[in-house]
Amino acid sequence: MKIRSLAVNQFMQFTDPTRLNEVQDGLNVVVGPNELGKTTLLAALRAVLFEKYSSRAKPIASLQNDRNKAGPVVELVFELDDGVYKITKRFMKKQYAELECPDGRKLQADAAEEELRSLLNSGKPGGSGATVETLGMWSVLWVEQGKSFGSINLSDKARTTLHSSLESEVGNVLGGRRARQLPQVIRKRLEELITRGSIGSNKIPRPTGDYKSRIAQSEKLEVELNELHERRRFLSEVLDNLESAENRNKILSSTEVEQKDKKELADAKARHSELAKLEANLEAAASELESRKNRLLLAERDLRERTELKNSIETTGKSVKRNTEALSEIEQQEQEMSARVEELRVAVREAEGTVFAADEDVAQKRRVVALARRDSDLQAMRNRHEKALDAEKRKREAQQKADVILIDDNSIQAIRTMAKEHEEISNKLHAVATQIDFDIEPDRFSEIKVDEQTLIKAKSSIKAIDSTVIEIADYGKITVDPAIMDREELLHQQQTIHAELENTLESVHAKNLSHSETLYEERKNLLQVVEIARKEVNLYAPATNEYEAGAQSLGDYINSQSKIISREMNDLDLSEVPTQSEAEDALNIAEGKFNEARQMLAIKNAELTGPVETYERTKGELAEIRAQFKSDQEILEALQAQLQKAVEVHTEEKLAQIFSDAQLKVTKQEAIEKSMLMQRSDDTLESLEVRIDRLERGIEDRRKSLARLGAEIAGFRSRLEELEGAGLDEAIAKKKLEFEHNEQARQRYEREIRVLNLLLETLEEAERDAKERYLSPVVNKLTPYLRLLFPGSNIEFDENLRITGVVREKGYQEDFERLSMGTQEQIAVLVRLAFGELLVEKGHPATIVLDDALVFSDDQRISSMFDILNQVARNVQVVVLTCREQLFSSLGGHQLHLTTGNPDELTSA
Amino acid sequence: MTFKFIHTSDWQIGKVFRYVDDTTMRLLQDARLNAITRIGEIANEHDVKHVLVAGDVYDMEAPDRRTLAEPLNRMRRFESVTWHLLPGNHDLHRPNGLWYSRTLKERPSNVNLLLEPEHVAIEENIYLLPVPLNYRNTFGDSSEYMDDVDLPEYAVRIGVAHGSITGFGSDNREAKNYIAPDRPQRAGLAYLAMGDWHGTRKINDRCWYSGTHETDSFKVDGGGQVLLVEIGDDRSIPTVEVIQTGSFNWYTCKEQVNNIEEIDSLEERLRQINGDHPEQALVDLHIEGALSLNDEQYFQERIVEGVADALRFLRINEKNLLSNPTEEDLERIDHAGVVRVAAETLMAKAENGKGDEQELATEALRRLYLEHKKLQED
Repeated sequence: MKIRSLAVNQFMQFTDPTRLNEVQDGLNVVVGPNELGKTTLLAALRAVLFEKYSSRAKPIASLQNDRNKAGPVVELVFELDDGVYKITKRFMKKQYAELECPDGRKLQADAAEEELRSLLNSGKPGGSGATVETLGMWSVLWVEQGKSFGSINLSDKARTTLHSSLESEVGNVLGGRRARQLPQVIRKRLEELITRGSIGSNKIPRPTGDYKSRIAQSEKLEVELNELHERRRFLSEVLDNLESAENRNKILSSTEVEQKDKKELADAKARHSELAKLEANLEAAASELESRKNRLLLAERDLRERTELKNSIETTGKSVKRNTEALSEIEQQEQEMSARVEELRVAVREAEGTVFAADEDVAQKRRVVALARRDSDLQAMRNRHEKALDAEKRKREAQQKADVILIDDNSIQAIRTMAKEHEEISNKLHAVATQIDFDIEPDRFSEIKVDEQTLIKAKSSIKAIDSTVIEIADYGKITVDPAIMDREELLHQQQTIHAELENTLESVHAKNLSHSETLYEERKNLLQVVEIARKEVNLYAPATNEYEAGAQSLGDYINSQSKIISREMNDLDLSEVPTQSEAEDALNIAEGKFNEARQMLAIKNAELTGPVETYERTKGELAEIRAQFKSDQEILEALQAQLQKAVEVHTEEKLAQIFSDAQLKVTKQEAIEKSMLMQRSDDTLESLEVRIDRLERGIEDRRKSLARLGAEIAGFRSRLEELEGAGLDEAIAKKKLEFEHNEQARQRYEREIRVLNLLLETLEEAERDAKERYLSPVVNKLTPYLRLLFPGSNIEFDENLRITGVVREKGYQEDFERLSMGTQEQIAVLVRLAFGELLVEKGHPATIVLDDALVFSDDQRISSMFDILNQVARNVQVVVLTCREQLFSSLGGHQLHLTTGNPDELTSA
Repeated sequence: MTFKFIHTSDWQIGKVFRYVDDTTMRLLQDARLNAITRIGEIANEHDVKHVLVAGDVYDMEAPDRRTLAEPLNRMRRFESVTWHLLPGNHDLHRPNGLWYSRTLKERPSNVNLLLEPEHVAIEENIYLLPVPLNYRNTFGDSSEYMDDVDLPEYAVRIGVAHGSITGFGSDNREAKNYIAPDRPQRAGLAYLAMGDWHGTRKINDRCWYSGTHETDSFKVDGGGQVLLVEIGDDRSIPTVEVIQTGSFNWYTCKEQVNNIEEIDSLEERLRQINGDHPEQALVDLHIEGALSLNDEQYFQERIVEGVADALRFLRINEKNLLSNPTEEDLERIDHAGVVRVAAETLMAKAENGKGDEQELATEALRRLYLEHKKLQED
């Protein structure tokens, strides 16, 4: 199809007749700002071709100008293979439609629209105007502003259009109409059985319709059937119970049983009464027998006691006699033993005496040893005493000498200090003194007197401190008066110290300084001698526990010891003290004797032990035998007295008589009892009572049971009647049948679903395979354009011709939705171009209209797109509506402009 | 003087037929009642005063009250006839059971129940010796008592029992509800009327199974009849006449079909199976052979849908009817295209698939053929 011109009046914002003329084959461009009404032109195009002129639907009403609400008029001239057509429509007011055909026909109203739909292969619009579905391929080829990008959603009609054009390309791949309808038929049938969602999916089919109700019915019937079975079981139970109750009732109500029990009860009662009497008599007889037996026992006891008494007397008598013999024998033994023991005791006492004497001797010898030791010690003490006396004498003498010397450490120290001070002052004076040297001929120095004293030596010098007068004989006197500072004071100090020193020396009887030193030294030596002597005394006569230190104490001690020794000698009757070794030898001998005596004593003691024990034991036995003997004698006397008394009451003959009488009575009574026992039968009172009780209870129980059974039977019968009426077996059979029939239907549906699913799957798979084959023309058409934009790319469609993705140059695949807006848009436009080209090639009418498309494309891509548009436009008419004049200036193509039309044409209403 | 009676059994009133549709079932059930009427009519025709029903009057122990009443009402109409009913293994006699229900208690006066194994005089010198069943399965021969029943020398003794006499001459004492076939000889019976077997059967001169009065299964051979028995007073062998009472005929046939001609022939035969009354015929058809898709379609149209409507009931067992799609079938679908491809895929599965898959594919292919053909016709 080729659009040739479009004119509108009172159409949206176009309130005056407006035209777009001279639309050419190939590429046409309508450039103008947004308000120009490009999109309105597209709306006009759609309205005139696809909307019902008579429609008052909302989209149609919206074609009116908002202000004047006049009837919009559109006129379109287009060309198909068979020539030029002109369609004019007025909407809303005084609507009409007119189609002028190339063959000269002028079709009006519905006829015009019908023809138009047939020419363009579009659908009949519904009540709410044309839709994507009724527009078919045209909605794909005509892209409104802002809708050029995004995946192309093909309507069924559009797809059918494409399919039909593609089929003629690839031959009868799909099998035509029936092939398309068959899956629909199958699907429709399946939809009657299972929900749409579970068809052809892996999900468990969800039943619907009759199939669903069959399933529900099966479940319901099963429940009902089970209920019926349950009631049937109950019926059987009631029948069983009733039968058993009736049987029991029959048994219980039998009069035969009743009479038998009553007779048995009467018999038992009579028997019980008889037996009770007999038992009372028996009890009395038994009591009598018991008392007779007791009397017999008493007689028996008396007789026995008499015999026992006599036996006791005899036994005791024998015992007494036996003990008398034993006693004399054991007394003799005791005497013999006593003598032997005494003998042994004497020997022991002798041995003890020997031990005692030896012990005495040892003690004496020990004193002698001690005496000898003491005497020896005393001799040593005496030696030390002499030495201590000598040392004490030396000490005393030296001390006396030291005590005469008065100088001691303090006084010598004072003297030394004073001498030193005196010397220091003298030295000071000497230092400042004027030295006067004399060198005089030795033969003449005596002529010289210094301070009236003759010189001693020829060659000498003096230190003049004071005025010194040198008198030279024969010559006169020379006075030297040295000038010394503080001379007077120094001299005074010198004199004071000198005086003190002289006093001190005098107090200690020292003639001068050196004498004082000598005296001091002498005293020191003497004191040393005192100390040495004192130590010597300590050595020889030290302090001990017995005496204090000193020769005197020692001497005293020695005297006391001497006295002790003399006394001991006296005691021991010694004329002289033996040596220590002599004394010790004597002691050893005495100790040896003592030990021998002790051993002898031990032997003697041991010899005594055994006989003493035997003797003691014999004495014990003797005492026992004597006691037993005495006791037996007393008992014997008592028993004899007892026997005497008893004989006085009853003699033995009398006792025997009493016993035999009692025996006779017991025998008689036993015979009586035996005869009574013979009257007893197997029954006992207890067993009879139990029987009576049982029979009475049985009769009573039967009465109660019968009453209860009667009620039970009535209950079962009424239930039975009710259940019988229900005809359960028949109801079960019928219900079962119903269930089976329903199940069969359900299974048939199940089977059908499986069969249909398989069939549908197989068909769809075959269709997919086929479509892959028939899609190839679209792909072939598209690929060159695609590669211009995206070198090396391929596009992928699903079987519904929806773009699913793009495979890029390097082989990776991208989902269409993930591509950039620009790329999506470009591909979408390319696909539309390819569809358009394909349709035209197959002889279908097609014109591509792009309203403000490619808004997202960059410069480089848009230039490629322009090339492609130009290429496509060689085969298909393309109308581009754009507001971007500059951008589209290089598109080429035929520029179109809106012109104002003749006010007389396109009359609105 | 002779004594005549009708021997029948196994009415099984209330029987439910599992495989037939509801309408047919109602008809079959009604037929069982109608046959009772027919027996009454036959009795009147032959001046027979007694009808012995040898067990299984009812199909179950607890039928519906109406089901219980219906046969009684049929019998009531024939006042001159006394109907002697014996409990069988389906309607066994147990205390407070079916036979004691109010409906039976209030039965018509010409209906006599044989509930105890003891002789009962029905006419002067004519005694019935019944063996009612108390259990579904009775072990041991309950008819033994007949041997010891003390009756006047010239009394006519007629046994009525329900059970099995399997094997003739061999020992089958372990069979359930066993009745010795030589009981007539041992107990001096003039005739032993047996029930349980649904086809008429003569065991010996004095022992017969009457069979059911209206056939109730494809397995039954010789059903739908009663026996008119006549006993002479000279202890001679009774004469037994078989009389038709059933209205429906049950047929079982095995047929081969491999092509349209055979299908046509089969259709013709089926239409004539019960003479002028195909609507009174129930047919159990076992079909064998292999059919192309097209012929299968034809079979469906002519037999499954066609003849079936003419018969009272047609049961078809197609287990051995194989699907054999041919090249022509496929060509009929299409020369090429999606449907042809799908058909070929299914055909391959039908030939090479396993088990259920094979069957499913066969069915799917059949369906494809059918639906496609429908579309072709549109």
